[in-house]
Amino acid sequence: MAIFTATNPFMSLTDSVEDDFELSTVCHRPESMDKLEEQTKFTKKELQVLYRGFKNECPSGVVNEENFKHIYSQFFPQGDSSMYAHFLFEAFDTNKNGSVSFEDFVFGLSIILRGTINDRLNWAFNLYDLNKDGCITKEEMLDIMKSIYDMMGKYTYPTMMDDAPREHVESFFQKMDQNRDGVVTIDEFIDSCKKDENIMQSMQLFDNVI
Amino acid sequence: MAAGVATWLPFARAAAVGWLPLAKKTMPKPPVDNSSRSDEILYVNVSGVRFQTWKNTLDRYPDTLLGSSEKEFFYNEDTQEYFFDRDPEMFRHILNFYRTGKLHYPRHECIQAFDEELAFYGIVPEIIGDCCMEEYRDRKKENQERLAEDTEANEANDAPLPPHSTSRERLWRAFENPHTSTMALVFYYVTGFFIAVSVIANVVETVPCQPPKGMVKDLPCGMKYQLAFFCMDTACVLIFTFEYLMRLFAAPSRCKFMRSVMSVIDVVAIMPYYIGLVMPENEDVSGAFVTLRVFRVFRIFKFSRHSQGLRILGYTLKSCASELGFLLFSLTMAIIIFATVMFYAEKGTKGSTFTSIPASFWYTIVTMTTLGKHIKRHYIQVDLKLLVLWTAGFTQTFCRH
Repeated sequence: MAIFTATNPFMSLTDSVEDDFELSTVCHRPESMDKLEEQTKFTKKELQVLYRGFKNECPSGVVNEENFKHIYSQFFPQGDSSMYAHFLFEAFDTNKNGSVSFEDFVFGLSIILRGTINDRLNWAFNLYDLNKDGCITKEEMLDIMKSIYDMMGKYTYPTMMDDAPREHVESFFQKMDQNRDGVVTIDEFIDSCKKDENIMQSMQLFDNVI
Repeated sequence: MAAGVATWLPFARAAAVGWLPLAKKTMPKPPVDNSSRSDEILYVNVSGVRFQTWKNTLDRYPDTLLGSSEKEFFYNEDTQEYFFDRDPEMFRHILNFYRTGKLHYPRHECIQAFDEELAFYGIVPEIIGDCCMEEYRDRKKENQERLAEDTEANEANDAPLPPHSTSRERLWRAFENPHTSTMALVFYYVTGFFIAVSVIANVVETVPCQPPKGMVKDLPCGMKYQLAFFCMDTACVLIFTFEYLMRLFAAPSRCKFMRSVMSVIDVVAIMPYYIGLVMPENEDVSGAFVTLRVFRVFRIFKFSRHSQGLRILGYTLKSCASELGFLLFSLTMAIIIFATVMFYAEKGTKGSTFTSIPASFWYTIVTMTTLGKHIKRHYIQVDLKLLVLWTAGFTQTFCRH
């Protein structure tokens, strides 16, 4: 992904990003635009707009989790979005190196905004499956549900009661878990979603973003 | 929301994929903003210096001149650019604000010019970044003080009088600005002379003179020539009273005049004499009466009408009042802490002079003013002078004047 050049001492790829100072002296440059255009479904102009925004917020070329949470919290000031942002970060960070580079960012966006319904559902499943073992358990779902409710904050109606997430998880499993084995696999998930009118309609939303 | 974060909006919308499958109803459609479809470069010409920026950059702050449709008024069709006839150096900072979201104050620029530019471009100064906010506030305060002094001086130096002014207004002007007429000047010098005479008389009357025949002890001159001094005092007080009443009569706003500092000083300078006249020759009260005579020293402050320097000193102290207050407070805190420590440390030992915490205060104060504990009580005048000097020196470095 990153281009190592012996002549340029400023290029390097961090493997861990606990040290903020270390991060600020690292500069990561993405692949060339042509390659990215091939690999994603964005046009050159769109890539330019995305990169300008990305670079403005993260001049070093990579986003670490702190930054990610901070950016996300600015869009959702009414609640606590840190947990959801954490899950999102895990989903975007495909190579598990603790930082999201521009390529990771753009690949993820390409799937969500320009992918097929299947791609999107796949991505969503990946997001829910916290330990990436191929199935969603009730505990994982509960974590995700709680994080979403936290993020929505005072916009949840009726006012959130403590077991509202749990009830929601129960109804989700009712709908999705077809063989009643207590976990939801990818096939069950995609199958159930396709049968649900609401979800299908909502998925059309993404066609017009950007 | 910070400026740059707005460009992450697609990402925020995309993240909705996470909760879509969990939603119980269909999500509503997102608002479609057609305006931000294509991004274009805008050209801004400021007095010949050409700046270029993305339209989106300027659109980040829609309630400023450049972000709203107000800039269309400055659009030049022939050259396809926005033309502003303003300072290009300053514009650089304004444009940087759009780009980075932080407004910086350039130290070498004049504060008023900067404020004017901000007002023109519709930017409120409150958003200046933390890095430059303190500098900006200091300069602004300095400038305002300077302006206040200037307007005061200008008011005093208004050259021609309005033609149909009453005698009362003329009298007031004569008092406030002695250079307007010869009578005013004469009065100014006469009052100055009598203030000096009064102060000198106060000083001289305490000097010991040769005792008259038949007495052994040295007498202060005040006692010996009691009648002479009394006459001089009366004359001075009469002049001051006359001056005060004339000022009161001529003042455009009597209440405001009576509340002003100079008027209070005038009253304090003449009150002791009248109180002395009224009070009986009682033994108990005469002690209090003697203390009252101390207030006669306040006549020296009447000189501040005559001296610009003294007034500036007054302003300096007033504007440093908060710092002085803080200094006093921290000294008090230190005294209390050390006195308490000393008291409890010496509590067990026999014959300790620290019988209580307030008793330890004296020790602490004397030690803190570095005079040592063997100083007798009557040196307190010396310590106080030193303390005042030390405090003044401290205050100088404390205030940025």
